[in-house]
Amino acid sequence: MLKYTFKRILMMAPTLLGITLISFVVIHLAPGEPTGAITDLNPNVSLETKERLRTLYGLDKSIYEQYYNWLTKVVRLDFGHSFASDRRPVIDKIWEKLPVTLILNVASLAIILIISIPIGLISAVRAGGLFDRLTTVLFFIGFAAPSFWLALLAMRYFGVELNLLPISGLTSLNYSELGRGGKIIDLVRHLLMPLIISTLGGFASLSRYMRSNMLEIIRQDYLTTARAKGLPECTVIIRHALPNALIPVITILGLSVPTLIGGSIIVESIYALPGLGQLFYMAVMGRDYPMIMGSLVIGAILTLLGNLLADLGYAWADPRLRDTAFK
Amino acid sequence: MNLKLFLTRFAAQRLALIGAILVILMFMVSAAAGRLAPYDPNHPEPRNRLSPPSSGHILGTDALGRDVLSRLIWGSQVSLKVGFVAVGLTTTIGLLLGTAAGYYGGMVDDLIMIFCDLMLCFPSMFLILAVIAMLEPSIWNVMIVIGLTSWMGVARLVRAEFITLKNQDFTLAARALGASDLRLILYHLLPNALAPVLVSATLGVAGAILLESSLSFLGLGVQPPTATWGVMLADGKDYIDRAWWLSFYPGLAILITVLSYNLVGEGLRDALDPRN
Repeated sequence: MLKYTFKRILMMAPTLLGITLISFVVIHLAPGEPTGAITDLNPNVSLETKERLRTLYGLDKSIYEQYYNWLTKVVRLDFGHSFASDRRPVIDKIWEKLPVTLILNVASLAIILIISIPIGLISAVRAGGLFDRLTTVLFFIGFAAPSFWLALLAMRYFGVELNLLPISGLTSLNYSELGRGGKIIDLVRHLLMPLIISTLGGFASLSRYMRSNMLEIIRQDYLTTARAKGLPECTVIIRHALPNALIPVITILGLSVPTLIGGSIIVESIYALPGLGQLFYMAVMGRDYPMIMGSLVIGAILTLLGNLLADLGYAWADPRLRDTAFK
Repeated sequence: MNLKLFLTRFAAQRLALIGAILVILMFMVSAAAGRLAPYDPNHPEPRNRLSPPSSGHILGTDALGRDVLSRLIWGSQVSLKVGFVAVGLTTTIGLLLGTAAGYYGGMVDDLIMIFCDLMLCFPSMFLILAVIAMLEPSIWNVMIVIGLTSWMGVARLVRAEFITLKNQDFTLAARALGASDLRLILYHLLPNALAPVLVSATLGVAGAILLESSLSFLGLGVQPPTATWGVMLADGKDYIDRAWWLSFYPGLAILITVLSYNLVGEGLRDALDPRN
């Protein structure tokens, strides 16, 4: 297990290098200079100051030198200082916002799993039945509905009309006065709507996937054998078919990490949640280059970690791989 | 597969047929936008601001007194344009890179696939926003950026098809007859790989329309006062407590459009699948 994990982590190194290269190229190929955001609109900036800023940020060097210098800092997770008015180190700001995004995404992954596995299972077992057809249509609709639209409608209905849930932010104004239990309830109430919205897009595709997996497995001979032994249908499905249908789901979960992280930009900026998505959106709006590059690299690293966990999970769950991988 | 067989198989699927009819309807609406729209989409009526749906304005008016229905109708043009141009770009890049990787293999294949995997590491919204941040937000930039950041699926599809096709007997026969690389690719391999590309392009149109509306909603896509569904939703956001019709209808339009293309795409997949 350890050896395989270690090998998998080592294999990530070249990918990480590639990620930094793409992040760097994306920002530097585009027209306009990174310092332009500070100097262009400010009439008091003299040519001299512009030159000094260029030297300060190393923009007078060749592009290779710039990449090398940036890379040597990024290896130590030093992404420089934000261009925003607080001028704080990029990595500090990211660490501060990361928990909200992680909690939101891990929780919605959990909800997606809990809902879509039974739904996929039932639609496959009763393929072509009323439940199957109904969920198929509903999922097509859920898949096509823009999340920001659903978020707005939910805000209007649950927030304004029924006045059930708070419509923005992570905590209420009186948060600091609440007891521990009150604090948790307050947080959950604030996170409930964003969670449901970020879950809706995901469980449509996962249930469809689960359904087709199950359909494939139900046809296999070993299930006929199980039935022939006289096992009740319920045991056949739950004990014999389900585990094998679940294994590939791990891969899909890993693959859905970038979509979820990307989706948090929209959910967090609509519900004013202080997470990585909102931070990145603000950085883009303010052309905060160090912040953009930092978030881009961290976003990709999160995706890589998601894939790593999925691969390890797969190797652990699939007996065919377990024997070779974990020797 | 001949056309008649394909059409029968496609039409046999009720949902796909509904999707196709809706797609055609939407084409007609955006082509006839000038005649269909009851008002000028950008003409404000200051005395008629935020009026709810009524007989004069079937879907109500927005904060500047512009007719929501007319803006929706004109907005469909933007969605169509973005969908098709972005997917055209995606498919072209995907076809070129996928063909090169699948046909030539070796180093070329390795390099292209490494690049592909790296691009897939980035949450696509992050990558798209980062590029857009450097450019002026405009409809052309949105289409180009969506195109440049979503070709990976097509490239992988085409590569996989080429790898299975290039070692089959008909390819060897054509090669034995002295067909050049270009001829082999264009006349023997590509036509056989087109079915999955067509499916993914149809689904891609839906994806691009959804992406454009998210970008415009975030203020980083098509800029106001151009009437697009995403811009309309962004405008309606501030009035969500008072004027629900400003947000409801543009979102519904996006939903129906994306849904139709997805239904057509799934229908094509089933109709073109030789295993069925």
